[in-house]
Amino acid sequence: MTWTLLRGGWLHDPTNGIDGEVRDLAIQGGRIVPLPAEPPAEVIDASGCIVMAGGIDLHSHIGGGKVNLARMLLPEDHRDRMTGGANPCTPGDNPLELISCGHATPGTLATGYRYVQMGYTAAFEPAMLAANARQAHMEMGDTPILDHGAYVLLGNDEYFLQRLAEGAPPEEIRDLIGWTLHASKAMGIKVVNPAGISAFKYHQRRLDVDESHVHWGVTPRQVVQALARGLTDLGVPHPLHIHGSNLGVAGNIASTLATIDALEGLPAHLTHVQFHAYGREGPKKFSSAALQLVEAVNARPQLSIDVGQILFGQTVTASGDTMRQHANAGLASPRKWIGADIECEAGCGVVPFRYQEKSYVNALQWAIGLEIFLSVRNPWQVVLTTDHPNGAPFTSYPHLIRLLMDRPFREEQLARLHPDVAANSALKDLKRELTLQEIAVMTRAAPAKLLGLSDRGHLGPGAAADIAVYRDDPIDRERMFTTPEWVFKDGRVVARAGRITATPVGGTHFVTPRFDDARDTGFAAALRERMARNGSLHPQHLEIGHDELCACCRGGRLLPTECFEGAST
Amino acid sequence: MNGHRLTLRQRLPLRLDLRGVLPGALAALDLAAIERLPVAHGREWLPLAECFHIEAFEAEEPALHLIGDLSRVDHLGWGLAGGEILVDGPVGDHLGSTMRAGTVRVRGSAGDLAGVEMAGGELHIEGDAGHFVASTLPGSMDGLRGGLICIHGRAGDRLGDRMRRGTLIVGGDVGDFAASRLVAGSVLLGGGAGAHPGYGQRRGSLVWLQPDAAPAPPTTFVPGQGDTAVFWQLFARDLAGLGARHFAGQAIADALAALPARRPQRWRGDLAVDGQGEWLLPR
Ligand SMILES: [Zn+2]
Ligand SMILES: [Zn+2]
Repeated sequence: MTWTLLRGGWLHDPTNGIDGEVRDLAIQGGRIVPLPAEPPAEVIDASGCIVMAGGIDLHSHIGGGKVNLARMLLPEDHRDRMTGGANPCTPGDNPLELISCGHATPGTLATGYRYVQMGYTAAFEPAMLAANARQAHMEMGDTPILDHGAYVLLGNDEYFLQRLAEGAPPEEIRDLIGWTLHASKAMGIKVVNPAGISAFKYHQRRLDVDESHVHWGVTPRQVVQALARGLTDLGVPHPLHIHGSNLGVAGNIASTLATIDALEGLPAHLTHVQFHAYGREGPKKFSSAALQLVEAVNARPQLSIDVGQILFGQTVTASGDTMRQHANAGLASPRKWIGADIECEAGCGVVPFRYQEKSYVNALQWAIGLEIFLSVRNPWQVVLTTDHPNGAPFTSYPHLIRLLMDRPFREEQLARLHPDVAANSALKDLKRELTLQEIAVMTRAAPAKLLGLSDRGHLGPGAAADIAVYRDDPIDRERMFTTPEWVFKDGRVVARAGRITATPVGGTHFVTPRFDDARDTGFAAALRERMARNGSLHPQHLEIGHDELCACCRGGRLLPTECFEGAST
Repeated sequence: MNGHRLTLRQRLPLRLDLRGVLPGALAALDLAAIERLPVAHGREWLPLAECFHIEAFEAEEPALHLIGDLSRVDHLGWGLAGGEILVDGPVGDHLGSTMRAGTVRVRGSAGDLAGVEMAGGELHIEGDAGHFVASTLPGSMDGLRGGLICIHGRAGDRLGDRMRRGTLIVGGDVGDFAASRLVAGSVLLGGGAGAHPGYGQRRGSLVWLQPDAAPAPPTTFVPGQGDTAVFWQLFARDLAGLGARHFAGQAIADALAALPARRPQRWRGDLAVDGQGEWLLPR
């Protein structure tokens, strides 16, 4: 069997303890293999290049109802800026790229092309509704090249809250979680504003961690505990993905720390923590609580975070958190927004937004995100995200990487911001510059580990040959990370110097938990009955089978992830 | 040669998109290059000369003169930034949309979406216009942002939807939802209107030149009591001037000329939204 030699690059493979050593890589049958004895069929000269596994974005809104709503809300985002901003987007010169455009709300095609062009080979949609799972899988299936998966939402649907309120035993909650993962073919569970999206529908406009939902009487603390416990019992590799209470509210560090406390030592992933690390100090009663948050993370190796960095410019915030998006709707720019309930399972709020350098709040948000990146001690606990498109479109990752790696560049940016921010921020004293190895951890090795993907995010023998080869450029890391020389997906060159060269269909990641659904007596029967009475989905269609998933995802490969052995079922 | 005359060779089988075929752009090219210009016809690209017989003529400023049944020609004058376009015959959709300066005159009728997101210049349609005149591209917040649109005949539904500046004058009747969601600017109607005029009108002025043809104001409008005598005199004289310049010899010119001598009845609304808009019914 023929193989390809990727020769002489500097490897950054944190999973295997390789930090910038010159190594040869052998690619055969879509995998990385030990160097075969026979000569290679093809040699690619990677000398002078940095070689990393393909990037993995563990939190990026690329599929499902709200993403499409965001696209529909902002048709202007899909017009061609190059020709005056009014014309439809025009075909490029690459016949492999079908027409697709969009900046904050790229179409599925553009999402795939743009991710791959910067060396990413997988992305995970963090907020899929079970009732919407088909749509989400279809959209992701329509996203070329990239592997994908999704976390399904629990913690605000009426059935879960009702059973929690009625005191369902932990085994039932565990099995309900397992069934939901199985039925929607998800990779994990995300909870958004625990119980808060539901509380919003009962006229509550905030819900603190120990405050009761007025109707169900449960607290966010109970919700978080029940879900984190259930996932641990099922052995799902990705721990509970938490979008905490009080997103964006000054002083919300208190509820973030209370949420961490509610976990009682169970593992969890706190997402877009930049939006959850605000104090109430200073002249504007809005301050950074990044260091308090980081202290909690540094003390708890079982926690991981992604940052949700904001960057300046036009974007759109798309979230399941109807409660918080309703509160932000007045800040919409342009002045239009969408708020919706979806099947009483969760919510949906889409608010376009322009982050401005001269805004004290926005500038402080920018600084808080960077403070978090630069002060967490163990890079394996931090994943690089902008919560695309909420903090900024994913296409700004190379810029963000440069901010983290290049202190003078960072300080130049800081000097342009609202002056009070520079004066009051810890950022100006943070001298740390992240290394290439740390970036490799935050953008591929750690996300793979946190998702339980044993054959991704690294370059050891047996790993999928998803590889990004960047021409080293110590002066301008932004340029370097914008346009890798080669990007391989399953051993095939899919981008060469910024140009898409092949568009294979991406694969779908999902977990395969073992659970007991007590089909005729337990929650599965109750859910079917409820769906028949109130839902828009036929109860028989709640579960997505393997064949159907395959069809949804345009025949892409199914990539099941086993749960940990010894999980209690 | 600053001017070009384009005569349609035969009736077009499909829609033809003339985006980019602008007087200034053509003035910078020689005839052979103009003849080769690719234009989108259905899903294909054709050289411009396949659709039109093209000849140059002397003109002071860049000018484009089109002749024939252009009712399948869309995006004529799209983004126009100067110069003059004259059409003898009907045209299709998006006439003068997103134009910023210059003049477009059609001696015929226009399709839908004329003057969408236009920001300046003048657009004259001597026949009728379709729906969504002076409104927005999909999803945008603002329609007409400046300039003058004169329609001698009738216009369709959603006239001036979300328009926020500029002047829009229609000689004849208009369709449903006239001046809906009007943000600002002046809309003058020489005839009557269909259902729901002024729906969601936030600000701006809607003038009914024939008050007897106007529908009863919606229930979300209230009589305005403020003294507007000075404003009215300034506004009415300006409008009378526009009438003399652009509608000479037509009934609407007389109606505009008579405005300074009349006293308008004034209504405020739509109170369901901002309620800062007005209806003026000069009697
Ligand atoms: Zn979130
Ligand atoms: Zn998110």
